[in-house]
Amino acid sequence: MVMRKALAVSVMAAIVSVSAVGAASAASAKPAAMAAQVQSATFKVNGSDATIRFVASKGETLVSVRDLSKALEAKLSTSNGTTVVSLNGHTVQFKPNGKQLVADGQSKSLLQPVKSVNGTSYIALRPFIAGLGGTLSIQAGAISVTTVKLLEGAENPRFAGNGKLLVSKTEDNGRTDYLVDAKTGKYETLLSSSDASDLVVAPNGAKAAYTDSNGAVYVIDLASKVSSKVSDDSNIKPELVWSSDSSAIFFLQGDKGSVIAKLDPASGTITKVLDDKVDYKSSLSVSPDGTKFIYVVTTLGTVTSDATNVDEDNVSIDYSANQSQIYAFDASVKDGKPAKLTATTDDKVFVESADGVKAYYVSVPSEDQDSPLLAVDGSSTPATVYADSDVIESVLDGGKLYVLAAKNDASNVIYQIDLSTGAKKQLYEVSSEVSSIAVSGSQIAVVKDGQVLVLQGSSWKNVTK
Amino acid sequence: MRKWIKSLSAITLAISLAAGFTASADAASSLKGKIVINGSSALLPLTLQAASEFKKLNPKVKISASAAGSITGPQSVRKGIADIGAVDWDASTDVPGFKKFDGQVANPVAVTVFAAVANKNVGVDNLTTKQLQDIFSGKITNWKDVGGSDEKIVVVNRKFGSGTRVNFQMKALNGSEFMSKGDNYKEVGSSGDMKTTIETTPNAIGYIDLPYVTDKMKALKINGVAPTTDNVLNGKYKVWGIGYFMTKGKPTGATKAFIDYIQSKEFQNGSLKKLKFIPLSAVK
Repeated sequence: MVMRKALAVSVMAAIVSVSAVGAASAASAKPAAMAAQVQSATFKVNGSDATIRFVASKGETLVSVRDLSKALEAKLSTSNGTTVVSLNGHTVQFKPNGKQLVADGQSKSLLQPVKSVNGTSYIALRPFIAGLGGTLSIQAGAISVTTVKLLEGAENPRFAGNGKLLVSKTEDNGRTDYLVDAKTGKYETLLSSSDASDLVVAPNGAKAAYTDSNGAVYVIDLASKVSSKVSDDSNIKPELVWSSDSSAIFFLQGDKGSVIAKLDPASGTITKVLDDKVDYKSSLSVSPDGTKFIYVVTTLGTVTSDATNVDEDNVSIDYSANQSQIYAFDASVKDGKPAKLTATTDDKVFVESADGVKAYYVSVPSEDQDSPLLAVDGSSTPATVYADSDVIESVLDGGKLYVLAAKNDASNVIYQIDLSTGAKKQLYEVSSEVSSIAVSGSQIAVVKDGQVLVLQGSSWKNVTK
Repeated sequence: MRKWIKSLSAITLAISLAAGFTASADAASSLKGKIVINGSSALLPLTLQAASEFKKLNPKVKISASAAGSITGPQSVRKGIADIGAVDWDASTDVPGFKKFDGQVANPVAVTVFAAVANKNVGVDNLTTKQLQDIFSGKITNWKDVGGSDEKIVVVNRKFGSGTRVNFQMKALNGSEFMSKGDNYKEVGSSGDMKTTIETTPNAIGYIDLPYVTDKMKALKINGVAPTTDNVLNGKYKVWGIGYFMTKGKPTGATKAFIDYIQSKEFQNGSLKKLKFIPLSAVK
């Protein structure tokens, strides 16, 4: 155990030091006899453990070409004394004891020649992996080699069950949704559509719901990738929300989101939950038992106009009533009415509720003030949940709030707040370029500069680029 | 052990920082500003949906919306009380009834489809252009004259200044004039009012943009063609127009960012379609 730790440290040190070696020093390096001390270590190769033999020499890690090629599932062959390794359209060629490596036709000098020990070739890890189009990093103390071609330009990550992320790419005429392995970045197409709305993943992670441009509702099985139409109802459905047991879909109905309704996907039956003629509802949350609801109502400015003489511009707007307010509704109370939980004029974003009674939201008082995270349940004025710095986003998952907040110009922080105890702890400090987070259980992903990264061990690994 | 882990995570952190976690003071969420939007009620659901999504990306931008008919959009911009005037026609050019608004830029945002609609009790499913012209001008006053039952037609019109009215007059009635008074004539001030009036007034006929059509009313075919997105895309249905966000000169700052968002592939191919609008790219 102690030996393995020490080994890992020396391997890492080798990699780090090699990464600092420049081209000039590479050219001046001289071959020298070295002790052929073959060791082995566990590498992460495309997310899986693999035992790889290596030789540590002059600050470099020379790896067994055979071991690493096998772990990468690369094609290894020898022709006229030249070893050829091919993977994902990339080819690396070298000769035993040679100091040149040819990657995709480009010749590169090695710091030290390819070494042959007991019939096995050992080559410098970094140029070898770079030649195969891969990257190196250190994950939880082990060398991690990735040669998976990452999906480019994907957006809107959502966890879809254990170890999978659902991401989307918008194209000229529609959108393609992909399932991405949160460990390796390997991806597969889930759905290509010209008019599907955003996929809403069910809490059980096994399926997702969406509507088409006619208002029809579909459920796609994330394993079989088969979509089934579960409702032909043509009403516009601006928001879909799964019940916590993944058996029913609640939705806002109509172009103004005036009605809260419930769809049973098994029978296609739609029942109205609330039809109070109040327009522009949004941000719907539903309690686990499906009877209590939290939502936002936006009221518009009032316009007075007279178009008799257009040139007079006889128009005025009173925005005093233009606000967004949070409401709660308990459908289990006979003849119950929605209760207004807030009355303040701040903007309210990322409104969510775990129980349909208490709402959590980011309050944006003005453009020049920090935005705190508040909680409100109608029993008193909104209570502060997090106000240490400007909140960028909050996400509710499994009884905990995850808060992405600005720390300074260079850094953002991610906090976790336990709803039952109120305990708050900083989980991570990340770049200020991190603009969004996705959480599911112990899994967390961030969007940084348009790329999705997943926390693995103690570091963030790109799963899209 | 603890020390080793500490130094390890320090190395890991150094690597991850070097690997791309560089700082930037120019994150998307730093955008600030206030945007006031007034005008078309037809475009309002789209405006509010885009505003809700935009605010999650740019929480420090405040967006205030209202609607009282298209003409009030460019009027509000000219008067300086709104940054964006939502209008169902290109108000930087002359259209029937309205002169162009000098100095304003028309930023296209969506294709809107307009439908002739009737109360559910009306036994007619299809009207020709000529029949529509005669009904809306008051020449035909009874449903029996167009194949329906012997009931007086109630014509529901939008008030002067409505973009839906301008488009319906130009594209469904080929520019023919509306009636303007009578016992069976009503005028309403918004798409929402039109929806309610058609749903609740027996024998009523009116017109509305497609997102407002509900299952409590009947969307009529025109010359045998149903008002659907597919029929617009295949060129059969002609009663559609482009909605614009008018700005005083070229948009800047938060207003520009919001217009960029509503014109983006993500919004045009996403929420815009969900709300039964048609993306701009589909009719180019």
